[in-house]
Amino acid sequence: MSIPIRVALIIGAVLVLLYFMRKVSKSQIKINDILFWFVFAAFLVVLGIFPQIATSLAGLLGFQSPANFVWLTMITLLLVREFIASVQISQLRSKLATLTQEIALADLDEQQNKDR
Amino acid sequence: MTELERGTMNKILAVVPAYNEEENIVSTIEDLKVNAPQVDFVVVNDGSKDRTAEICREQGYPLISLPVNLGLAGGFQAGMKYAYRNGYEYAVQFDADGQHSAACIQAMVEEAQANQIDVVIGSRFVSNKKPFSARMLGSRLLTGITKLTTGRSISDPTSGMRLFNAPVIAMLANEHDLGPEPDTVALLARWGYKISEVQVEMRDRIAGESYLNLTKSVIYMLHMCVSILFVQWFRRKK
Repeated sequence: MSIPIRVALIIGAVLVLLYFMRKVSKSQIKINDILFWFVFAAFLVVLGIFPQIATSLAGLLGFQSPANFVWLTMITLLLVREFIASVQISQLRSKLATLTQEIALADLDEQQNKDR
Repeated sequence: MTELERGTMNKILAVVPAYNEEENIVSTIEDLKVNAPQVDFVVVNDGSKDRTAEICREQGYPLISLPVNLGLAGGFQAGMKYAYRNGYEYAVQFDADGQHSAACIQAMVEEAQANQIDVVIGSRFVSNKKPFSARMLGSRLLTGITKLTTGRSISDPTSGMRLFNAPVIAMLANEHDLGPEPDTVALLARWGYKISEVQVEMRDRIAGESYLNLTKSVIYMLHMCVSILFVQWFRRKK
């Protein structure tokens, strides 16, 4: 892989980390929810520093160039992330529904108890 | 003890987060009632699928019953909100599975009072040596990185038996991402809060299942390491 691509990977990793650290410093995100991005950034840095990994794996799998392999890997990781996020969002919706219902029912319960 | 005696004593609350602990909850609360009568307690039912909540109601235990499962951090925070809103001077996290010993709470309170400590950790390894085992590998790693980043030596970073004073209770109740975990302890140490440890005894879980498996343990250690080694430096002091 060429030097510019390797540098781009490392800069990309640094930008990802900076973005999330800003969010953390403003208390806008929890660490547990960004663990994936840490691993992702670490992955980019490792690839940038050790392009041999991409080169050898690309050759093994029949890619024309290591860069192609890197892009496909990143896309695959992002897809996996999306799948997991879809599941999490669905579960959050269910919890939200339960909470909303429970609050409303508790409210009504309180009302009816007052009226007695 | 009389109402008058209680009125002049410190208000201490034991927060007991419980998820599917129908087999242990009664013996745990009995331990608290018998061996720590000076301590109030509240069970936080974290959306259990078993009869934990029903048993607590049958027994008349003070109960915060969450309508959905939030995990330990959510349940713990619910308990801290209760402690904060009811003006407790100290709150101690107490496991529902019977691993903690209620008799040890008083020593923790005394340490906090005598030395103005903000966080007292009930540690298994103050006077006993930490064993060299696979289980303790994680504990050693956490002790190491906490010492590296904060200078504080914490012998039992994963101990769930932690006592907090009122200012810390306020923070834990109202901020997000301050869960009952070693990285929060390290963060508090970094922010200048006084941390101390008191030797306690812990038992093995009596019944039921533990929450951890290999995947969860790996994610947990990743979270702690990332948090203590890296994210800690970016978090703003509360």
